[in-house]
Amino acid sequence: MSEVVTDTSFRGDIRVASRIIDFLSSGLYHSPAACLKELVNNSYDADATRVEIYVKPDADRIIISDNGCGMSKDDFVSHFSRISESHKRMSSDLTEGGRPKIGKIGIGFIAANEICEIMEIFSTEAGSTELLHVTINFAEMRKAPEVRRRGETDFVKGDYEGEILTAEQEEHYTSLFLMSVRGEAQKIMASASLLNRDAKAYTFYGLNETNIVKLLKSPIGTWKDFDQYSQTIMEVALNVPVAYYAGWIPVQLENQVNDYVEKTADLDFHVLYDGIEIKKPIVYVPPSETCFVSRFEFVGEHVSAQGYFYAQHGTIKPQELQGLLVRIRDAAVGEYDHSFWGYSPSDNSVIQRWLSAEIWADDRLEDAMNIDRRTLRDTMPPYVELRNAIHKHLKMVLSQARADIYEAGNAERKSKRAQVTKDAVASLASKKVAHIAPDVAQQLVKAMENIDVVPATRRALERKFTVTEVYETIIKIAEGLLTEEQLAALLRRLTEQIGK
Amino acid sequence: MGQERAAKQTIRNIWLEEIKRFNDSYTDDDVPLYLTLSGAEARDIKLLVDHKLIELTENGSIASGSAKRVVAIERSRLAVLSLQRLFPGLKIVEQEFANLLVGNSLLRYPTGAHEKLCCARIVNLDFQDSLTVTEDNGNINFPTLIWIQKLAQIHASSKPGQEWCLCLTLNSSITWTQSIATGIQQFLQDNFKRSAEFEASCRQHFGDTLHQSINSDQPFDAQALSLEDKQRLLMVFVPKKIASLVYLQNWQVKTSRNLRYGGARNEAPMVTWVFSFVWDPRASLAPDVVYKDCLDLIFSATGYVSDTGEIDVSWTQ
Repeated sequence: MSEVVTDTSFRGDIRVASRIIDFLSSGLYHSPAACLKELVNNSYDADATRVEIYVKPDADRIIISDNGCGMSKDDFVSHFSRISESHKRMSSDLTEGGRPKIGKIGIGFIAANEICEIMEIFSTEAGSTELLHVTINFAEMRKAPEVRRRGETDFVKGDYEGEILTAEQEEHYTSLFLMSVRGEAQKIMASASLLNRDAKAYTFYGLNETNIVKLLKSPIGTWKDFDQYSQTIMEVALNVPVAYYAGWIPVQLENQVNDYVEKTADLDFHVLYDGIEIKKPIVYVPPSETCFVSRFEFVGEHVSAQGYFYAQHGTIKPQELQGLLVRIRDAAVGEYDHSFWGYSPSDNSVIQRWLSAEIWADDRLEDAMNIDRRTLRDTMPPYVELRNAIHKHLKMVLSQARADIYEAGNAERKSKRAQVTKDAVASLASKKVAHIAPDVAQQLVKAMENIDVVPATRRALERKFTVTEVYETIIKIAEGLLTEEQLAALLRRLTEQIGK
Repeated sequence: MGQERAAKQTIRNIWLEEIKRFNDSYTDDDVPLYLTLSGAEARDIKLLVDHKLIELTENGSIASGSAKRVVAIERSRLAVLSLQRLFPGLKIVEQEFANLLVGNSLLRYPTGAHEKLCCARIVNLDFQDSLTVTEDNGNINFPTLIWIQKLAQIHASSKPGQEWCLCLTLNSSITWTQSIATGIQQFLQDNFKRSAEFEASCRQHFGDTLHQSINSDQPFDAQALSLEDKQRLLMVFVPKKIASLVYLQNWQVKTSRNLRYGGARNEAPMVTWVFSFVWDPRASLAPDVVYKDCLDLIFSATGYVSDTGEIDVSWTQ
């Protein structure tokens, strides 16, 4: 409900359907990043190609500005006077630019109330000289329900005051200013090695793309090793439809996922966070060259989906990339699910941690998605059908990984280990033994030459030897070749070596 | 971004010299180096970056080591956005400068983080507006000068006070009512009577006509003055008034620059100053000595910045 105050100013109430308010009141968003991604996805739905987010230095005020289509006073009033389940896609499922809308019920803006007390909106549409300026006060929301109640099913979410300013006719944008950022959110979003120079956590702040990729490729076990500022960036970037970093996947696998990379790049959606262009924080660095991609394609009765399973030899790091990430309309549903939607934990449990999968499901899965865009209702037919398909494919990928990566890798590892032992013994013989007992050294080198030809001795060589075991072998050979005096000298020397 | 006039560039370079001086002298300060009303284009901050007084990261944001060394005050939300685009990570306080100082009352001061910001080594108040003045029951108040008095008080809250520098720029238009003009005339006449030396300096700076109209029994019409005479009047009045407001706080105000520029070819007529606030404990015993020292420097720092950016510092400028 909007009330005209003067020719250029107005004010009104925001009405949110009671079912939605129940969700919001129960803490819909688990982190500031979850709220932020709603706002970024809102910009995507406004056909923006560029979104800028400014948080630093201390997140006491956050700006989200996009070059999207903007909105008029009428758009604003009609949107905020009734936020309900089916509002946003009432006119069309697609944006004017042809993008499938991510938002469904239009609560993106309201998400901001979780991190700030006041939000100011500046927005203008191309072709209009009107600049909409609205200040929304979210404090109303935290009033008791009986105070907020308006009628049978609606609650006042927050009051707003607006005015119409002037803008250049060709301009089109929406800029949000989140003011009075709430304490905990501010702390998380600023975190900041910027404020604490002694902090050891890694940070993206100030890095260019090359160094961000370098950082993501370093052996970091978990995102928790980054400061909260960077964790927030990664959480947002994982969710929204931004592109992949160059070199995110081993080069030999690139052609198997190229279509997804191109599809995402074609969305032409760029998000800059304090000047850093953020991209999907998915960067795979296999410990060895042994890795593969298995494509997933499924057409079912209730849902269709496609994507890839990436497998490598060794645990995927950071651990946040282990598991399954599902996207609907290019936005992620929550984070990677380490259980692969409840797959048997006992089936190749170690190898499950070597896998990372990204699946794009069609719109029908959206019916199973909860309002938080983070979880899915596991009784819904599209979910059940897709889960079964994913589990079936996962089983196949796991057995392929066991055969192609684990077992092949095991043989390769054994062979490498044997070579290391051979080299070590040869080196020991020439450097430590030769000048005391040349015969023993010669014998050792000779013994090593053909050791892996005979299966029994090769197997022996494939195990790991302790230093003491190697020395015992030398002594055994020496006993048959050296005099007592020479043997004593060799023993003395070897004992000195062990001591060192 | 439009081409900036040469005179303004000269003045920015003067600011830069001051900032360098403080940057070299106070390397491990806990307070900001530079507090500025930079405007959306932030040319002064760019200058600091160009001269490596503020470091940027590889993606152009303010480096962590330089964060909070420079703080911008900006009330317009859209200007704030422009500033953040130019310098991600820049500390911007979004409010009116007066609000940062908790208004015009000398009884209320900022606390906490805002107090710390106000302790910046260099405060640059680059106003486009003229000197505002209010009259209340015969009392003439200059809000801008009260803010400066409050800044001086904040810098003086530690003992000894924390040396600082004020760069002040004002439009030299004068829109005083007759009673305000008469009050200012009276203020200057009183000072002429108190110090023949001051009057002599004023006569030389103002020229005979302006001097006589101020030193006359007849009320003088400040609005009728030429643009240049308005500039000359403010060049004396403002430094003198500031000195009179702060010398009892133990500050000796050294006017190191007292310049006028603009006024021709539709360019706004402006006056600009650089004041160094030097802690002077003599004020508690011999305040008049400190005050007199302040006044001595007003005239030696005068000058005119030409359209080409050259400074003419001859005495009568």
